[in-house]
Amino acid sequence: MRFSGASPRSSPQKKRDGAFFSRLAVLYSGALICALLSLGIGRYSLPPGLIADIFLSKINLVEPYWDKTLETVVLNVRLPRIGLAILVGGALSVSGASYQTLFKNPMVSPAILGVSAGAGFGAALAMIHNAPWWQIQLSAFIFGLAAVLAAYLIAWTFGRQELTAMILAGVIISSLFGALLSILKLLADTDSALPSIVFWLMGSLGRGSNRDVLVMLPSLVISLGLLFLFRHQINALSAGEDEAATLGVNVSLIKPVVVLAATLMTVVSVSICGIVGWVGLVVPHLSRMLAGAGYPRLMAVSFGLGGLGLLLMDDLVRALPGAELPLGVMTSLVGAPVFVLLLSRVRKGWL
Amino acid sequence: MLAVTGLSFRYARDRAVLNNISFDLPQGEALALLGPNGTGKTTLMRCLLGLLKPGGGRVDLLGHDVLRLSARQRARMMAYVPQSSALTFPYDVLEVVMMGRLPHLGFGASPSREDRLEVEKALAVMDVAHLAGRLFQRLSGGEKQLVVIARALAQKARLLVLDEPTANLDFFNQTRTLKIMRSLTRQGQTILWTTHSPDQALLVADRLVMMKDGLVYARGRPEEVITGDNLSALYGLSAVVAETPVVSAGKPVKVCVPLMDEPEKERDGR
Repeated sequence: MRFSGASPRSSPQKKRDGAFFSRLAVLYSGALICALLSLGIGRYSLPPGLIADIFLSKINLVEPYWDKTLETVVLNVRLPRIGLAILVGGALSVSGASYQTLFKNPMVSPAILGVSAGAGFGAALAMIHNAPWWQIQLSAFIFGLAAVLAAYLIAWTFGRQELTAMILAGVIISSLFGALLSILKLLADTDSALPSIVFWLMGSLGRGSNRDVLVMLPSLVISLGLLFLFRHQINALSAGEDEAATLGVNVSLIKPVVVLAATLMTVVSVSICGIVGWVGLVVPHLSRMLAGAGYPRLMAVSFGLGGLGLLLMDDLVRALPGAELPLGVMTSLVGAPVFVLLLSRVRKGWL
Repeated sequence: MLAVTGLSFRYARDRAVLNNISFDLPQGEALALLGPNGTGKTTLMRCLLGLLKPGGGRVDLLGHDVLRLSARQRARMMAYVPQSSALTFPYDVLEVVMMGRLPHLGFGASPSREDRLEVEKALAVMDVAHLAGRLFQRLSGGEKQLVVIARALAQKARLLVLDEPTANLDFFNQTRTLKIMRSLTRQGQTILWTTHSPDQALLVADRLVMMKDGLVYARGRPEEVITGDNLSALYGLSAVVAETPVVSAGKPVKVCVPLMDEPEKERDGR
């Protein structure tokens, strides 16, 4: 075959790659800088120099000259909280981007298969039994997974794991667990359990600890690793299952892998910080503006942008005077208008 | 190259959609599947592509049973161009064509320099290199078709399967697509495509399979099989195939025309 050969050096592909990688570098270094600055935000406002010294003292380069409580605040309260904000924001966003690509549907969020509703029920169930915090998290995790499994099985009975059937099954399961949660709320002690349930459902990173970061990391690494390995196959699924199959995708393998990885990331996030909406819906769309629709790049940008976004939301929560606004409330307050703006920009493609 | 032997298919308990279909397609030829709506062409194509498991018979591609190949192996031998391709998200043309390199990517690997070159070649062959940075969603139907064919070419598959490639196109783009298909076969590409236009089959096909009610009604060289009688029986109407005085490539150009004033005939099997 003849072709008028543009050498790859001067090709539009190379140029586009350059633009992408510089954006990615700016995004991640921006996130890192924000994370460091965020250590200073909160009830005790700390200058960056002091924070740097606290870190340096840990490797014996600086003699401590500060109150011991400040060190605890920075290393055991703020550091895990910031780490969790980035990990949870990134996880929810990649999960949303994966589901949207798989289902070819821009309205899909990580909660689509019922994971949030299930986890909410699980957490509430543990709370009305006055269980300790780790049991609440475990219960949320188990019921979140159970909800997705139930949705998957319902879709399975329709035959070929039809994608529409899966979305419908997710709606059914969410509604069911929503109803069960209402029963628990009715039964809950109005002085102790009910307020905790309500507060949990609004999402918060306030109880995040270093242990949570350690719990979250393995599942995050596994999920992101799986999604990364199959990123080009997932990308092809956006053209539909049949076309993907003719492009060489083993659809019956990749689909459950995506559901598993996205669910695992979401359920761990929700178990740790309750229900934080909008991030997994909005961030993938913002990321497409930066990176295009191709899944491999979308994944990389979604994680960084989601992490940075949730970090800034949580900073806002911590910096605002008065009682802390729940994180989920903040993301909804910000997410809704952002989504309206997005819709006005890209509506032609969707409607 | 492609051998279909005794292929049968039925959806659960329905009557057979495909019944004992057999035909061959040698390397470097273009085969057209012609037949009325609902006659099983799409089902046949899905069986060929390995998307459906036939109830009986087999499909051999380059000596391999299609069902025993992995999706990846199939995609290296056979590329598919759907009737219309819709992407929900804003993919650009380069990304769409790069999807064609998927069956050649190593496990977990990113596209290499060679993959990029193949994408550029495919764009150049289809004469759509200027569309590279455009959003696929915003292209016209004709441009989309060319891009999806470029994606199929990037797959470097020996067999190209196209589902009614001219269905949504205007006269110019239909002709352009047909010309591309013809030039591809001349370069050794094997093509199988479905069509509703006997005229187009006469222009491009080396072989023709006429299907009716899940059976092969007739097969052979297009100029032998596409006759007024066959078309009349196939579609249940009165049609003639006329030779025009126009000569192209040493042969008179033939056209198929339905006779509007004749009554419709009883269609067999309905």
